[in-house]
Amino acid sequence: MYQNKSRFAKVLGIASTVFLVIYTIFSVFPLIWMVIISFKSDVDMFKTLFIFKPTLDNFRNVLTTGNYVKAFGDNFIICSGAVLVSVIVGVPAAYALARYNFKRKETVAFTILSFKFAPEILIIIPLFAIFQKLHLYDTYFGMIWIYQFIGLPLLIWVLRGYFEDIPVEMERAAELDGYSWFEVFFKMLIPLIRPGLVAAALLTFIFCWNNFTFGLMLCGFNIQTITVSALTYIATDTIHYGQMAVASLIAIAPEIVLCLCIQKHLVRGLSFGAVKG
Amino acid sequence: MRGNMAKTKQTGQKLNKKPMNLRLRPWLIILPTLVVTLGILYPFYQAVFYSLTDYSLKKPVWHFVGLKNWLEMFKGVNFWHSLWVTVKYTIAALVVEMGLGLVIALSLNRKDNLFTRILKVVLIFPLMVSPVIATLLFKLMTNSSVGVVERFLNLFGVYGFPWTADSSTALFSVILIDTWVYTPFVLLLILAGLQGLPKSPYESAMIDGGSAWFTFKTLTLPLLKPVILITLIFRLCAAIQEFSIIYSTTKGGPGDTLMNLSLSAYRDAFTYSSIGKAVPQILVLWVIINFISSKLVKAWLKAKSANNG
Amino acid sequence: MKNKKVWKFLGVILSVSMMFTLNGCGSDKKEKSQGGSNTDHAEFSWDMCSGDTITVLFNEHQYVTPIIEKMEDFEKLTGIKVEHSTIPESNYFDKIGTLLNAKSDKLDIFMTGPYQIWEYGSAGYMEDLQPYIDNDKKTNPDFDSDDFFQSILDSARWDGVEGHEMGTGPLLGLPMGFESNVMIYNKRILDEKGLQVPKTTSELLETARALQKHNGENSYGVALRGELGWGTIITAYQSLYKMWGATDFEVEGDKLVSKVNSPEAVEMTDWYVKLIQEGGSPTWASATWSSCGGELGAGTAAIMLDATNNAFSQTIPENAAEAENLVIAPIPLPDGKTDADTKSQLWTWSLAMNSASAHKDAAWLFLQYFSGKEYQNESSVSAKIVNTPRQSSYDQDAYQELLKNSEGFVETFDATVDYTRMYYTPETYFFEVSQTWCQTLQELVEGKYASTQEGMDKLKEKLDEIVSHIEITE
Repeated sequence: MYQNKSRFAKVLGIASTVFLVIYTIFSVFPLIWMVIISFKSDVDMFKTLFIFKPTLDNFRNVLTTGNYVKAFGDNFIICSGAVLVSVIVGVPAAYALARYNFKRKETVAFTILSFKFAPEILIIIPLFAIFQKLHLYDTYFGMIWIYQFIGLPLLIWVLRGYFEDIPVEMERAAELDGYSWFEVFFKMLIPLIRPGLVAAALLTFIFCWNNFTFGLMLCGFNIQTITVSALTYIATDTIHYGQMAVASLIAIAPEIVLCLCIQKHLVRGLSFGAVKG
Repeated sequence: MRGNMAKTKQTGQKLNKKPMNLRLRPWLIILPTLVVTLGILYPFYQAVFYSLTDYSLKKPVWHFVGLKNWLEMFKGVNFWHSLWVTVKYTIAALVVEMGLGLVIALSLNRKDNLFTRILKVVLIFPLMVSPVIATLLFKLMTNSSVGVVERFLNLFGVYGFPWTADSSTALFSVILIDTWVYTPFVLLLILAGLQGLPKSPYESAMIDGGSAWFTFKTLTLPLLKPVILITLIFRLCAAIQEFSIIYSTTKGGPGDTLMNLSLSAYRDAFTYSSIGKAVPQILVLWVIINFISSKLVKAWLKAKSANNG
Repeated sequence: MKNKKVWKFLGVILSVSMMFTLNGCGSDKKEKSQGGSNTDHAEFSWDMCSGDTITVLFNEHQYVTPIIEKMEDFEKLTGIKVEHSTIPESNYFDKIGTLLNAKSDKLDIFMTGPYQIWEYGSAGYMEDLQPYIDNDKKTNPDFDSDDFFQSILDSARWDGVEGHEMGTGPLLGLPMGFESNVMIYNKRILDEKGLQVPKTTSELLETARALQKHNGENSYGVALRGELGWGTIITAYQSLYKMWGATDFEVEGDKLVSKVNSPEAVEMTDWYVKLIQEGGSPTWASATWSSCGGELGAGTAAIMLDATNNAFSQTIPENAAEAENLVIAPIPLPDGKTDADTKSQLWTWSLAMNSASAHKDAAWLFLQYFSGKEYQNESSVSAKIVNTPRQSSYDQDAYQELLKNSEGFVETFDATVDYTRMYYTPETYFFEVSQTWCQTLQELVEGKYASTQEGMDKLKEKLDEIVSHIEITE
């Protein structure tokens, strides 16, 4: 029996490795391709695949002309602001939804979730009118306010689960030891939910970072977002795929850096996993 | 389930000794969230109101038209076609992505070595590419004359695969892009879920000598159910409203093959400038998502209490 | 139970917000705006609006780059501060439409095409520029509006009555450039295959057939736009449609009636569908102007029918590998037609003014500077803008020199310029009509109808339904 099982495990192991390799190629190749074409001139784009004279013109173009660098900065401010707001209001809300039982708790939770239900184009036109009336159009305040809707539901729902997994007895014990509620919350609970918080904040950041509609309709002169700017590299004389690839690479750079920074959390947290052969 | 509810209620009471505080505290804690979010209701209801008018971007004046937009929508064939496309797209995207995400998460979780540790980070990367950019990249790679994917297929004797240019392969192509972008999201959440699984049931399963499949079916899957359901809710909300990928590939074509409700509403609102006709379609979407999500949330609450109890 | 409460709550909010919105309903009267008489200046001077700030929204386009380069000069000359932003082409008009409809003060100047003028013009969103031109206190004596090619300037002039041709009424924009439709072919490939340059449409079909897979499995004969949207209809297709003698709409009583199932229209569409099926790209239905241009420039496609701008940029060596082999020629004539039947559907990018602008005089200075002779003459050469709208720019030696680099361009320009104008019947449902039309064309190419006649009959029904809301007034 032991023999049988190990053979089965071996087959399963090989199959899953093969599968992983195939999926990894599918997943990573387009990114590698993006890096390759960022060094390709427009003439070579429709001419060759791998063999071409690499050029830095695309990088030079994106970094020195136009306002891509400014859009990058604006995007960073808006997204960081939105994530910050989401975390500040969302963590306590998640805690309350996990720990307390109160009337209409599930209604509140569902309402928060329902911000994900309405497509942006449904609200964009009335929203534009409001932004104009309240002078929020093209302001950081307005943009951060609208961007925090993108990730807040996800953040609250993910963290709610994390809080629920922490035994309430732990909190009680700490309170009996004389710690105040705030001390318990910040010194004990926050470190415990950290992997979830970090992952959810990262996802929130990513979804904000890549949003297109709000950046298109609600700002433009003082503030520009990076997705809208990246698309302007499709100029009308010819598609500048190379410049677009550079713009995309620059756009995903901060996300990748963030991902690598919290990688320790992700990996350490993930390798806790109990599912083993 | 009921027993569990009672249990949390009890512990909740233990945590807060003052009854007044007990009742107000959760609301006070949630208050900031409500403050920053409730403002969104106004544009939402404004939009609902637009569905009862002939509001159009190309006219400075609008009139109240009652349910005309709604009746015309339900009478027209375009709406039902778009609804059907939405359903097809959503089901295809969810089945592929949830299945793929689950299998990859489990595969990654089998062993802890450098390879899997790197993959756990690298496989998340596609999620960071904006869907619009991902689509343009895909278009360049599959270009029928010079695309690298096309050249690869040529090696197997496949020439001129039409991708999004033919109605028989269009759905497949956009789902492929959707899969590339969003499977990492599923993967990330399920990996996080796997990490949270308790160890002890597996140890006893090992002792019992249960097969891998048996362990998966009776242990892992039920334990993962809450996470799977949450992931499903968020993917459902996005897939049913999918816009960027289809818009950047075919704008809903060829013909009306990929004209889902989001695209059709966008076309009515911005290309045809008729907001009044666009909003009802989006509201139908909203009602559908609302309904399915409420069911999924109920299932989630149940699955969670089953695991805890 | 919970749900009931939620719905009650929703109901209250809904009715409150309805009251709010109803107040605004119908009170918006179309504002009649005159050629700005708010301030009186003794005579024209560039710095008369010094200190103002204006906002400009550009579409991402090669016309825009030289404007942005000159912006500082303009600001220095006038003392006006210009805030500008560039929007990707795919979503440009979404934003413009929203801003105009909201009477936004965040938009003074925008770019527009002739089809958008029908919507924005009849809604009263666009300022009439003629009074400004006629007012010599506001306009530099050197402006010389007669220098614009007449048919190009006319494509920005419209009286706002659906069914009426363009060319009369208020001047709603000033052109920055225009595009007609041409054929561009790769002479190297045609020579290698021993093929002649097609002069008629049946020759074109035959040549395109012969060029399928001319260089391996992936290469094909003729590149045509096919992506779902109005762009596919208004370029090569519409030019040939008109050359064939077909019309889009005719006025019958006070209604527009679609003529897309007339014998000429069906014959032409049938030919066009064959051209795509037998001599076009297998991925025609997703082909955009840029993929067409790119594939022609790489030698994958041997011929392209498209707008001049797209054709011309492929003849510039930095843009395309095959640049030196490409030759521009007029679109082939339908069988039995003569040169006099040549028709080329026009596209222009114009600069226009928001009628809700709060800085109209400053905006006008911007408009006249960037459509003026000095700027146009200089930028047409420096930015390689083909089809400049001004005669004086076109006549410059340096400009002629630039055009000569592109073989056949000048001859084609001379042969088609008199036939380049707006052939489409102005109406405010243009985008709905052209999208539906394109959808039918895509379905015809996929063979979803038994015959072209059947497809076009069905299309006629749909189009008649779309324009049935229009009532033509005199």
